[in-house]
Amino acid sequence: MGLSAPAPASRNTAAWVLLSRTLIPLSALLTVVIALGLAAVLAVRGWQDLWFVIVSPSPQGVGGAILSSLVLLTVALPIVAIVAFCAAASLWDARIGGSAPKILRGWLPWATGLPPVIAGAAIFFLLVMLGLRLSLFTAAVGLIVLNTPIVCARMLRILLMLPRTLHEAASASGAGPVFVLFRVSLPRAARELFANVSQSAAEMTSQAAVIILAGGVWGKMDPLAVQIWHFAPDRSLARVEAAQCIVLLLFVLVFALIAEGLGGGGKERAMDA
Amino acid sequence: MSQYWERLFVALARLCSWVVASVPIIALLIFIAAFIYARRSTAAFEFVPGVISQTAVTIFLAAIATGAGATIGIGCAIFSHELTRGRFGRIIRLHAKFLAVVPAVVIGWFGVTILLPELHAAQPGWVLAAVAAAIAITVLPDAYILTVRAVRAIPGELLEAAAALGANATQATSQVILPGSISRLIGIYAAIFSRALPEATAASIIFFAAAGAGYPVSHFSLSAVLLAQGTSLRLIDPSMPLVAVLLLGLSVTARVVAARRIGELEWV
Repeated sequence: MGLSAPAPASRNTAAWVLLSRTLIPLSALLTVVIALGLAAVLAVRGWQDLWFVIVSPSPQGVGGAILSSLVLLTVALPIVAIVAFCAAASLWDARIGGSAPKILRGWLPWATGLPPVIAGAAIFFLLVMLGLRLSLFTAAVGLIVLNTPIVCARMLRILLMLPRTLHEAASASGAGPVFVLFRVSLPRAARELFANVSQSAAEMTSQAAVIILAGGVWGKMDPLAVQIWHFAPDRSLARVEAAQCIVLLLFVLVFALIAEGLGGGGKERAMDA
Repeated sequence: MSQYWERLFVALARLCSWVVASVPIIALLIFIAAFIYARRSTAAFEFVPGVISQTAVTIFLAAIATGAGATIGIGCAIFSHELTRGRFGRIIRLHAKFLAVVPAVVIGWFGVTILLPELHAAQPGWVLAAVAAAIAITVLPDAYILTVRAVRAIPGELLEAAAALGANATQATSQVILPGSISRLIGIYAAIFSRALPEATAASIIFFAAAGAGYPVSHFSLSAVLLAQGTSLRLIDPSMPLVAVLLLGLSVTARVVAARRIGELEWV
């Protein structure tokens, strides 16, 4: 067997090296510039009116809007969490799910990809056809439809990350699948699951398109994201809207930080990896 | 735990499983029913002229936003996770994290205030550039996350072998990570395209601001049209369900391409 000379570096390799030394560092720099620019513009434009939007009545003020956002979360989040957990449990163990997981496993990637505007439009059409009024409650239904598949997929991922040996040992000693889920697996995954729910709360607080279509825009007592959407095109309100954006961002950040503190949900964990 | 509660939970889990699985099909059925309902209740039906230009605008915007947003997101992820370590990498990750939590309405406000100068608010070129930039900022964190997962999916043995041969971070990136994940990176572009197509919140804010200055509605994106009609009409125009189906179809097609390229990567 003779020795062969190493193959010459291809043109592709030179292109990859160029990419690694130019475009990739530039992308990182651009990300930092965009993030800092966004934060700086918000702070410069909005800080003077921050107190004004906190104490003023709606629609300039954020008090009523925050209340509406909290009502939405209070209605939608528990339902999303419970339905998503049950669906994830049925996928996690075939003895719980029976034949349902075969369908769910195939459809889950598509259900998680349903765009917010499409979910909102579907609820809107259904309500118009049934002759029902748009309201905060129907907006909550829109949030539930949009977010349940996503939360389900994340919960399933968390459950599947648990060591399978514990599951198998408990099953071998005669424990039923529901017992194993609640007494063996759930205590070990509780923090991650709560982090996932908190991350979903952050996302639901910032979602506007689905709420606009499924719940309507009323001009008073709209959720905070919808209130900003309603008045943001008006340039004369730019400073007030900037202050409202700061409040919304802080609101979302609180949930995101709770999620990270509890163990990092999907997005945050992926970013920390 | 009693047998009764266990059986109740199993029944509930199966029911929830069916409910979650049926969400896309139910949405599609609602669109078909809405189209039939609207055709019965409305005599006039003008679909083609406006929607063709709006579809072209939607695809154009999504392509530009994907080109910019996905490239920056992918580059940032590779740089912060592979090319740099320690405090510098953490700082870049922190900024990407911040962008991930910024709501789309805030990006829309940013678009109206900064990206779209008041003097050019009715000029299509400026408006489309501002909307594309806003959508690019919106999808950038998604590209970042998917890239981190794609890079993590590369076998560790390959990186270890490169390190054993004396490759530094740039060499490992250019000769192992990029060639090894090229198929997934193309899939990430398709996935980001599928997310950029239906982006409505930030785009509609900029479009509405431009419309106030005289920008034509026929140059809106499909998702912005859906939001505009849904909030102004409060009834179903026959074109609305078709726009929704068109948007869903385009998004799903891009997602199918992405799924084939990316493979088993987690989606959410």
